Amino acid sequence: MLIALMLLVLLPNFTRAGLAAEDISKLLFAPYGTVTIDGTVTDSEAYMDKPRYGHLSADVFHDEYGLTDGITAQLWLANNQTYFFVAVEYNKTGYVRVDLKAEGSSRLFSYAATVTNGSQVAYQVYIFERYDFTEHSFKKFSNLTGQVTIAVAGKESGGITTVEFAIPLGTSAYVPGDKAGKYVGEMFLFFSENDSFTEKPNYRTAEMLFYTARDIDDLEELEEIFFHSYDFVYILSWTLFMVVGVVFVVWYYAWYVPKKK
Amino acid sequence: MAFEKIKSSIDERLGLSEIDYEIPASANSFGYMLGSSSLFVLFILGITGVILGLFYQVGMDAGYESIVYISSDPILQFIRSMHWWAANLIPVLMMMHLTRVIVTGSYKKPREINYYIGVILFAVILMFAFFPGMTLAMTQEGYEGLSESNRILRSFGIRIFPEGGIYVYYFIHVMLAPVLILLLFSAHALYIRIHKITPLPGHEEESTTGPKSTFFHHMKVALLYWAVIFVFLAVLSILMPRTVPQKPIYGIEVTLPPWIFNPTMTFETLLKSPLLTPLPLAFAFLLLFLVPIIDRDPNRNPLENKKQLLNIAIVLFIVFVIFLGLNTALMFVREPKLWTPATLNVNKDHCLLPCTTFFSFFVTPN
Repeated sequence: MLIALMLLVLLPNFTRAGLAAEDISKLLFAPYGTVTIDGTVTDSEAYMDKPRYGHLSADVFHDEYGLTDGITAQLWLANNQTYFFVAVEYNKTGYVRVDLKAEGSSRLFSYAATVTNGSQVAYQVYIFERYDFTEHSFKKFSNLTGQVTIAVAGKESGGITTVEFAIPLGTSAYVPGDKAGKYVGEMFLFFSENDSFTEKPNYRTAEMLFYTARDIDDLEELEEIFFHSYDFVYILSWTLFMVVGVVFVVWYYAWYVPKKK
Repeated sequence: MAFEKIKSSIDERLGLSEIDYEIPASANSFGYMLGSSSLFVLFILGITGVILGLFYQVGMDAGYESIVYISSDPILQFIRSMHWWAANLIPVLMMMHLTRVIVTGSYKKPREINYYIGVILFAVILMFAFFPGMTLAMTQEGYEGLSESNRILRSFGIRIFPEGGIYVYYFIHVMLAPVLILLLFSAHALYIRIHKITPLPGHEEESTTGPKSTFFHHMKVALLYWAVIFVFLAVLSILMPRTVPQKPIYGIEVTLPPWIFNPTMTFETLLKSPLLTPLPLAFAFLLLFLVPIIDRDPNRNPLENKKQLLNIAIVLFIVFVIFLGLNTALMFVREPKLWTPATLNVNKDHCLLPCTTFFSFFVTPN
């Protein structure tokens, strides 16, 4: 019963990978064992003919059966140093964990997900400068370190692989003179779940974001966005408006009017 | 004489005297104007909304571009600002109206059904008018609102719509919401006519022997309130107009939702579950639904009726804990640095924009 269930779950992915029956049996009865990383850090500036936005590193994960489309994790970094992209394609049940640490930020950012067969998950981690209200300026990360951990067919089977990376993010390009180096940062995570994932890796979402990263080059645009996001005066003033109004009405009709009478 | 004849002739055909029923004189006070003031703000929203609709195109990009176009024209920018400020004012007025209803015990027999109609009307305005309207502008917060609501819907098993669902939200905002509001308001007004305006607690004798007023007189007083509200909104729209928004960056989450939905974000931030996101608002409405069940005592004086005091406490709990408490808690959790005096300066610069809109009425080329 259990095997039948496993087959039901796993079969669509095997067939998608073009596996023969013996490969399937091999996969079913042999432990997953090692997952090797064919990870090369490249700095390809040719990607999408946009030299400014080349990907910084590409790591391809193979399992021991040489399934090149088994699991891939790609780390992309736009040259304007505002976002970081991790795309993980799963053809098996597994989980991925991404840990990132930015220099200048006390926060360790991590994200983990367990994904069933055949789904694709893309993480876009934005390493934006954040507006520092105390300094009235933008601050920026300087270095990004972290690791991506990927496990195939469950943690226990031993197919866990971790790749560590350190990406220099440059210095504070937007921050003038004396305000440099005082960055207070945080990252934003975008979790995109591609429901309609088919045979081929689909980086449509990634590309869309890739291009939008270019659009935020403009400091003023960033400033406007961040202003808007933390415009707490707007939120508090309307909330207080309501609170004061309600308290007034309560006081007026529950105490003032009856006492007056 | 001739005027009287025309008046009676019109009345004979339209039955206006039926509406001009007697009401207690105390019903002309401030608290009894909040409902009609909300109606007036809805009216402003309707008029400005129709004008904006003439220039709005639906779509992720098209929506944004039409807002840029609207914002580039001083008159349209003023209308958009009026729409925005009015949209923010209406939850405040409705919450105050609701408070008055609870404090004066207007939810009690025989007005329970009308109370429920009012609560549903409040929910419809928030969920079907306010929220979808915010997403239509396709600013950063509009985009994030759209993806956030899609996430919530998905957690309830409802799939994402094409183009992030903006067409659906457009339909809800311009078609479904007005129809529902109109139907619910008509029922609300009908039952006010049937049950008549509730006298003040302790002034029950007014309905029989006390000083009287008429509904038409009541509406004349309301006109004064409406004028004040209109001037208030117009001044806000001129001094603090909605500026040309920045194109949203898809895929990031940097904005907070509109203030009235901010408490929901607290739950998502703390519990990390879209399924639980609507919980604070759902809880608030559940409490409001319990109000007539909790207190069925006919005594409407809150000083003598403990159950009514409990209902007042419910309203205060909603505004203090759910709105003020969770709003501030969330902002504190997300950004402790906001609580510095420097922040106030930054935001002051942002809010008190120069009166460009006002002057551009006179100096706009062409």
